[in-house]
Parts: sequence; structure tokens; C-alpha cells
Amino acid sequence: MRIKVHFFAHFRQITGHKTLEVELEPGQVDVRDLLRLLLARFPGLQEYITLGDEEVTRRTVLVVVADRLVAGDKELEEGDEVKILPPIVGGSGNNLEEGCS
Amino acid sequence: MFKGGYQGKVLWVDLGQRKIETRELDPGLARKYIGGSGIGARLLYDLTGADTDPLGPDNPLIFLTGPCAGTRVPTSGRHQVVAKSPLTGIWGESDIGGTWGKQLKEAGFDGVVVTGEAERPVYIWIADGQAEIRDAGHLWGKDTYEVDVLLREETDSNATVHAIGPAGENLVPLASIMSDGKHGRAAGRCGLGAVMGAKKLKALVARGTGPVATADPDKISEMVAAIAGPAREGLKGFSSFGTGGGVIGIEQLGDLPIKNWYQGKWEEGAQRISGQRMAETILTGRYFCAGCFIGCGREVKISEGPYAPVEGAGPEYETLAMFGAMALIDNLEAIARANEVCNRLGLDTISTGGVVCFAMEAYEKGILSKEDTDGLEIRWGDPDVLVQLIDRIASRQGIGVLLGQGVKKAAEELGGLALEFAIHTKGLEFPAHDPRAHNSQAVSYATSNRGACHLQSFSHMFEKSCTMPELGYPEVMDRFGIEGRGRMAAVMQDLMCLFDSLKMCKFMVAGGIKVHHLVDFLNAVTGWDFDQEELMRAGERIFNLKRLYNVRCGVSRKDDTLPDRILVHRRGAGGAATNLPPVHEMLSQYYEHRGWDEMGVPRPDKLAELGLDEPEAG
Repeated sequence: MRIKVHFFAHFRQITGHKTLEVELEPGQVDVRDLLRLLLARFPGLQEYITLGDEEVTRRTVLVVVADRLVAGDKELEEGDEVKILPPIVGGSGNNLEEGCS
Repeated sequence: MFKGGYQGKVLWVDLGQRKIETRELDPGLARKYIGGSGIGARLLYDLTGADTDPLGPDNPLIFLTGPCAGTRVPTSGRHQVVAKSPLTGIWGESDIGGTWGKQLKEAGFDGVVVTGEAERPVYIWIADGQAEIRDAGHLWGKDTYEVDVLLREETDSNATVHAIGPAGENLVPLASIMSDGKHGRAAGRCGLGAVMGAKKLKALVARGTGPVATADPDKISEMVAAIAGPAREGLKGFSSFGTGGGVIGIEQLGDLPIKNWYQGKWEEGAQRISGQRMAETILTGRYFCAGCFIGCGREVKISEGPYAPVEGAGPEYETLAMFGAMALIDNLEAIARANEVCNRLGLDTISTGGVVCFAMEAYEKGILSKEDTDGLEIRWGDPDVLVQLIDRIASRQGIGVLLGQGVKKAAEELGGLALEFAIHTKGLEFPAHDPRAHNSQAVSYATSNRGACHLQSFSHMFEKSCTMPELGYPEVMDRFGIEGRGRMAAVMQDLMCLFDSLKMCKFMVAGGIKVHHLVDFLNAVTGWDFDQEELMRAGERIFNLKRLYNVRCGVSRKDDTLPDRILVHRRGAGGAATNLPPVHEMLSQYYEHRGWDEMGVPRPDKLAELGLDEPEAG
């Protein structure tokens, strides 16, 4: 499945791409899979993006498909265009509740 | 008696009589209204009436901290400024960070209530349990950065100066009250700087070195240790790029206002004015409010070129949007210059940006001409025009007289089509978040007690990245959804009343703070035994009291709306190209949840439930 990824702000500098065609392997079906792939290909993103529970992830990255802010379990389709935006305020993804426990 | 948090004392300063009195803070009042915005609401309701002239001696100017100020509770060094607004004629309040609130608390006071009007310019010097009124004749006419230096020389180099600039002195209804000099923090909204100017009060200077007792310091230490690390990490983007780091993403979501709320996209421009670009160019450092670990304040420097010199506070998101995208100005240095001019002169950058862009559209449409503007061509994208208009607004010269009234009154004066693009609710210019990109913000703006405001509910954050499971929102909500948004806006307004009363920074919501953290902090600081229900009820009480204040001023459902440009004009491009928020549908949900009647008036049973049915002696 081919997905077109658009990077914004500092994510653009880190990846060196404004737009990138990505091939998802069989079994890679949703936004979380895509983010996992991007983090592996561009380790510099790991400083900013954390894959945790949904709120933690969204605190570090906003993902937009067809103008909708989508969750990690959003299933992608062939030809989807995905925007990877920095969060409006966040940066890294530790969970406050875990910190409290 | 207070076990902790509150100092139990409020300064009452009558400038007309040149008299200062220290009054006890009633613990019952504090428990019911918490602090900051809440106690301010109670005092303003009791001290003023519908006929009170906002610029008259009977309008008190109230400065209040919260119970957590001066303690180790993170981000709690903020304070609230409250008065009847000269811009809107209704409830006025402004939340401000910096260090003044902490200084006041450590000086032994929870707040200052300023009444009357001085004969000559004065300032109030507050230091460790003492307060005095001093002459400020030598400071009148000076900008806020100059006054900061002079007053710290005159009092204590470690004091914090909370001052107005020439705009406040000139009674411009867009005037702010600034704090912390070059590390500018603003009580910007609602024109409260003009209230201060009308009282001939140039500044309040505070220095405190005393302790603020807490009921359970060990519990506070334990909580701070637990949440500081994760919250700091969670807000790292703010630390790295400031609030301006959001410009690019917000543009992509269609949330960034462009060309006076008319245009849909401005991608390249957004990149040129972003916090990321600032970090690559003019950024020299960052600064913190008292008790804060985020440090979103931007320190910038421009030493040469047409917009030099600039040194100190850099533009925040709202300023970048209102002077940049709204005016189609993509020159970051020019925006930084305009920001510094506003800070120095003491003008709210949001309202000022709104009215400048209103003028640009009026000029484009031929409603304003060169004859009206003293020859100035007020064209989109012209940074020099922006700076010149700011000067004229602050000094009330030429076209600045018209524009300095804000978009509502300026449009009413111009008449005709100008009323179509005056973007405000209840007379307060929109801040830089578009309700077409987040439906809940439509009902939030419509019902916000001080007029259009995203911070009174912060509800867009729950349609973007935040959750609040304890209040029934375990998942991030769809930003274009309608169902339940009326309730959501109301609940979040109640919650934000608590932030404004505890005086904690709302950005902590994005750092993962939940309701139970607020309950635990309040109890550990005060020794009280609040549970979530009692605390949220306090938030609801505070919101409703402000509504009652506005109802008394004539506000009703007719005022709970948005301009047609937001309700019927689609952005046409970008991340919110086609969405129009159905505000009236959401408003009906909202009223039902609030227990208000069809005209937007709180019902008697709701008031009884909230303990607002009995008059109180502030």
C-alpha cells in the first residue's frame, strides 16, 4: 500500500523531505504502523514523537488524513495523503499518570 | 483561619482618598470562589452595577492571586485582573503570568482592590506587608519597559513592575497592563489598561520575600516530583519553539485566521512567521513565569535593519497570527517590532491586530480612504503601515481615534458593509483560533463571559490532543462534530474558571493535568477537603456569577452569537475548507446543560443549586 506523507515544520528539517512516498508492507495497516515505520527510517524524529497511548502520542504528533485529525488506529488506504504535524504545544510523550504511580 | 495557601489579607487602595486599608479575606468566600477570577467575580458583582462607568471612579480594578501562588505548585505564579471592561461594557478579566502575583503573595497579600481616582499620576509600592501610594508624575508618558527600569531603581531591583503605557494613560479601550518589563507579560484583553489609566495609576510595584504557608508541604513535594518530569517532557514543544511553534500546524488545520478571517490557506507565510523560523533567526533565549518549568516566553533580538532595535519579549502565537497571517505580513522581524511597540505602549496585540486588519479590509473596500487616514495607504501585507497604526491607536491620533475603540464601535461608526467584517463577540475581537476549525469553539466564543475567547473553555484542545476522562471525555473528540459540544463547552468553561481562580497555567492541560490533580493540589495547599464534585461546582458557580453580571448589563441570547463571516462564509481552502459551525444548535444544547432559560438567563433553581440566590457581602 502506497501512502503519500507530507511533513511540516521541524519534521521537514529532520526528515529532509517535504513530501515522501512510503510503501507499507502487508500487515502494516494503520497510522500507528506508519508512524512506527517513519520513526525507524528517521531516528531524529524519536526526539519529538513518542508512540504511547493515544493521548500521549497526540501530545507529540498530530496526524491528519482528509482534514480529519486521526487516531493511531485509523486504517489507511492505498493513495491516502497523510500530514504529519507537530503538536500545537507538546513535544515528548510521557504519561502523567505513570509519573504519578 | 487559613491553614495554608491564602495570606488572608487583601489591600484596599482608595486613590481618591489616598487611603490604604488591609482587609481580612473571608475563608467562606475563599472556599466558595477559590481566588483569582472567582473572588474577582464576587467582588465586581457586589461593588458595581449596570450603570457603572468603566472609566469612572466607581469601577474597581481588582488584582487577585490564587491559593497556589507562591507555593511549589507548578505554574501557579499567575494572577487575574478584573474590572468592568471599557471595551465591551460588560464583565472584564485578564489572566497574566510573569512574577508579580508571586511577589504580591510573598509580600503578604492575596490581592489588591483599587478604587477611586487619583488627582495626579501615582504608583503603588507594596513590599513585605507594607504599601504606600507614591507620586508618578515623572513616569507619566513613559513606556512600560522604561517604567520597569526606573521603578526598580526607585524601589528594589528585585521588585516586579506591573504598569500601563501611554495607551492606558490615553484611555484607549484596547490598552493592556504589562508586567516584568522586557520579559513582557500582558493582562491584555478587555482594555483594563484604560481602567488603570482613568485612575491615574501608572503602576503597582511588588516585592515579597516572606513565606507562603501550605497545609501539607510533603504532599505537594510528592506531587510535584511525580508530575514535573512528565509534564515538562509533554510540553517540550512549547519550551523549544514557544507558542509560535504551533503556527504551521494550526494553519494546516484551518484554525489560523488569515486576511481578517476571509482566506483559507497561507502555508508559505505560516512557515515564515513560525516559532521554528524564529528559533533559526532572531531567538536569543527563553524566559519563565514564576513557578513555571515550561518557559514558553521568547527572548529575541534584532540589532540592524528597518525593524531594529528589538530586544526582549518576542511575539507569541496570538501576536504572530494577528499581526502576521491576519494582515498577510510574512516578515517576522516586522512582527517582532510591532509586538515590542505594543508591549511598550501597552496595547493588547490581539485586539490591536483585529482592528488593524479590519481597517485594511475597510480600505480595500473603499469604506476608508486616504482622506480618512491622513494619507496613509492601509494595504494588506504592509508592515510599516502596521507599526504606524499601532502608534496612532496608542496616541489617539487621526485614524487611531476611530480604530482605538475596537472593531465593534469602529464598524458601527462607519456603518454599512463595515459591520459585515467586524469580527467580534460582545465587542471583544476574536483571538486567533477559528471556530470553523473546531466546532466546540463556536459555542465557547458565543458564550464566553468576556466576549470572544478560546481560553475561557480551551475546548479545541479536547478536539485535538487532550482528554479529560473524569469529566466524561476519555477520548479526543472529532473537531467537526456537533453532538454534545454544547455540554462539552460548558464543562470546559467551568474547568477553566478553576484554572483562572487557582491561577494555574492552562497549558498544563496539554501537559497531562487532570481534575484530580487540581483537587489534590488545592487540598494539600489549603488543608481543605474538596472532592471533584465540589471543585467543579465551584467552577460552575464562578461561570454563572459572571453570566449574572452580564445579564445585569443587558446581555442575553441575542449576544451569544458569532459574526456572519464565521457562520456563513466558508474558508474555501485549507484544513477547514467547508465546515460551518451550527452555533445555534449547539447553543440550545448548551443552555439546556447550563440550566438557563431560552433567553440565556440562569434559572432560579440553578442559582439556588449553586448558592447564588443570596446576596453576599463581597
